[in-house]
Amino acid sequence: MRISGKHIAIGAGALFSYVFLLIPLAVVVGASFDDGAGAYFRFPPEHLSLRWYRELPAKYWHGLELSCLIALAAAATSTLIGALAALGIAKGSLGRSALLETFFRLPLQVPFVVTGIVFLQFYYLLFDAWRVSLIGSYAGFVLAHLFFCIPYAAGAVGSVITDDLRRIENAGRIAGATEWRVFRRLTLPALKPGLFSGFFYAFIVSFGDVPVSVFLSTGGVVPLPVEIFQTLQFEFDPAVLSISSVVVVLSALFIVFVQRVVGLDLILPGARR
Amino acid sequence: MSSVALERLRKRYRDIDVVKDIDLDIAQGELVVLLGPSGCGKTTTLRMIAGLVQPTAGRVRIGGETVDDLPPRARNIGMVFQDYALFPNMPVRENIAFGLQERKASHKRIDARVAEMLALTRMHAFVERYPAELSGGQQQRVALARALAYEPRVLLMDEPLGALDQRLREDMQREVARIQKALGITTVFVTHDQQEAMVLAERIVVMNAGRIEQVGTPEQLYANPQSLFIADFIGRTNRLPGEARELADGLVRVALRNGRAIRARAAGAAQVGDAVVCTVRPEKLRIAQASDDASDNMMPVTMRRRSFMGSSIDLAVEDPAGSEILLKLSATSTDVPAPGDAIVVAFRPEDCLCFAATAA
Amino acid sequence: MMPGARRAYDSGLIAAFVGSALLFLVPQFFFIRQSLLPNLAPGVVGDTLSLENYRAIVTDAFYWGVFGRTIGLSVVSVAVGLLLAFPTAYLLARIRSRVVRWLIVLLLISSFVSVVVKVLGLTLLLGTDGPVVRALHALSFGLWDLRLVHNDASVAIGLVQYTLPLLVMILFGVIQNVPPSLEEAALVHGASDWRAFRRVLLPLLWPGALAAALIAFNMNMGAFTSAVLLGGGRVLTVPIMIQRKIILETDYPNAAALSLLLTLAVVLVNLAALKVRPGAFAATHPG
Repeated sequence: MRISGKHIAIGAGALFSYVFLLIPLAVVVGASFDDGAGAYFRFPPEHLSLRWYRELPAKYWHGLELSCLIALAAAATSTLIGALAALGIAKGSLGRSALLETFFRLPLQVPFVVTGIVFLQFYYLLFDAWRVSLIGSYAGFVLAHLFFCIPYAAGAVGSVITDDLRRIENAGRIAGATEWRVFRRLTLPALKPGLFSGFFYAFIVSFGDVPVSVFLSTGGVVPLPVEIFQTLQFEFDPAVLSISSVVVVLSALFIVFVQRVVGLDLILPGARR
Repeated sequence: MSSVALERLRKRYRDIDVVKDIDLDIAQGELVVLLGPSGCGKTTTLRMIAGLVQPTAGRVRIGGETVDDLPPRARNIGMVFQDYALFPNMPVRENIAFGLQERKASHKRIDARVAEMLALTRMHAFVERYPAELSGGQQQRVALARALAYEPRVLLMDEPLGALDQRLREDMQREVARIQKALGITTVFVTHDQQEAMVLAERIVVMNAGRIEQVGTPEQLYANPQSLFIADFIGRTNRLPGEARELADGLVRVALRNGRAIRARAAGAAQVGDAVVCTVRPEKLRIAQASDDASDNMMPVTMRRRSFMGSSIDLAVEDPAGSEILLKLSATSTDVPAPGDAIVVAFRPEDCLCFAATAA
Repeated sequence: MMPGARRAYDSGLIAAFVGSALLFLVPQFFFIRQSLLPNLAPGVVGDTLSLENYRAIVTDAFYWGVFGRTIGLSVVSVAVGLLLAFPTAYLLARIRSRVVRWLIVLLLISSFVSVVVKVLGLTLLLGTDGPVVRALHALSFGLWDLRLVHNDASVAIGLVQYTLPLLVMILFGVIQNVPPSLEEAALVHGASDWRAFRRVLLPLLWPGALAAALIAFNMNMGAFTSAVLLGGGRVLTVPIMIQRKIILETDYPNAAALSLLLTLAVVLVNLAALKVRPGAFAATHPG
């Protein structure tokens, strides 16, 4: 094939992007195998060993578990709320109100760090007023994460409610289906990609969050990214390398699993299986 | 205007040869139709002429010069796409002017040509409209105007009329033919609609599974198809499966599966004992009269349905084996049988073709 | 649609709306109120409402500098991100090959991994004992002793790491919506690759690209992982200042005031973009 300037530009740009994104991950995984307990991380590793995997402090595993649970709850709840919102806007009596659509996207205008301290401060107030302690609590994290997850979910579900869907539903009604059957057999399957991708992205954002969760963590209740962040800020612990590598590998396994079982175009329409 | 020559053109995707060894010469000013079912390679061939697809082997020549190393814009061709591909961000005027602007034509020339194209396609009322505001037929005409604006030497059309309704489609077929004749531009038109091909083409290139099956005028293809596929694909025909019994005087005696014995013209390499399929056009069948020639083929059938089509009367009858056979009678026929009648249809052996029964 | 079904959808919407309104608005209300109160001592907040906190910040040139830097870093990162995201998204959208599936998998993995892990990798890579510095040192025969971290550039790189996957995914969807036949038509009718891009592809991509840019911008404005870990105390952004006010000075009112000013800056930029291209405000979801 003729190699044109366009091919070179596109190819080089894409190659650079992938190298750019993947090198830091490769470095982390590579360095996690280094034996050195010195005062700094070394890459490339000098003495290979699995030491930092064997000696992983429990707090990191707790952090991983907590992050997963929070993300699961936040993603599930926000997908539900987002779906109700998107469906209500598209099919309710009010019609496609731009005002309502904007409302559900409002949190995207608020910088993450601001959200963090908004909720921190709010939880203090709740504690002062009603002795309810949400800081450093599972519910507290989920609630704050919901704030920024709902817009993603609402947007994802909204984007799959198309005019084509309305036509298909009408065809079903004409064919004699009840509203419930129309919903179950026509609407719901069409919503699937939106629900999946909404859940998926909400999960990603919640799982990887630092700016919000860092303010809501106390003592032993710390999500993993915050745990890593604080370690990097204040102390030195090679275990961050190994736990981070674990996260990278788990993420890879999870994504490949999703691709095999469900197919990529449920989370990225047009991606082809 | 230029001629187009395809020499042993081939295109391979992974392990599949989508286009296999195409050899074709298109004369200057000729309108050639590439006709075939989906997946036969006609669009790929067209795109190789355009330069949007690189051939795996073979050459494309336009006006005698090999264009394989030239990008599409250097080949001086115009193309109308299946989805029209009008630029949504530009009004009709700018769409049409696009090619000239890219060729750095002067404003005067651009304005003049745009006006000419609008007149040619009768779209001057829509000059400032955007593509989204136009109907399918209107978009199609703008696409044609855009393709012709910079006076290309070859015009390529990729199933451009597919999305139009029947009436509009027929109108546009006549429009395209008129414009092509007026400009005398060499045109390659791709379609899967054999009727469209018959209306437009001077020559039809029938393609199947990546190869050219037959090239000919519409009359030649209709009267003398060289394969069962072509006989079936062009126009309507009746298929009568059977076995070849005897070859004599250029005619084949065939024992049909429905029990009758007939004689037909051998149109393919059918040997005695082969499974064959005989084809006979609906308009070549008639209701048997007492005065008929004894050497004609006869077949007893049962009348099932008749349809008045305006210019003809179509009869659907059932043969002894239960298969449906179509007859086309003149609209002025008298004594048209009623459903349920037992009648005999007759046809001359010369009007019946016998092909070897391959997977066509 | 039957009235019963419509009522069901309405109820769902109302439930979602009420829940979201409480979540979105109630904490913000108290927050705004907090920003109007004076900070008397670390952890001690006064009673009188006033705009004093805001006045103090807005009249302080120092804060203008910090805001400028924050916005500057965010904008530069978005620009670099778009520049990298476009060819990547174009490749993924236009190439028909099974490789694309794996490339998308890699992209998703990259977006799944938290930015803090990526930043960790960057500190290893660019740090003073990292391979890059050592290699440059060796290549220059000991002349180059560069500090690649603890500066604006490294923070910007961290921000690009943060937003690039999302930008690629959004642009991927946008490019997919442009039929390849449009680009082909441009090429056949006489345009070079660049001209086809300029005159046909870019105008059609622009609204979606702008929406993606705004999302990335908003994310950058609120992020501090990169700034803290790669900035090393030398790069001061508004999120860092906010963090310090809370953690170090326990000064909630001023932290609140800063936060609201930050939010205001974000909203203003988004509105300005709205003027440039009205359709861009519709947040383009990567899907």
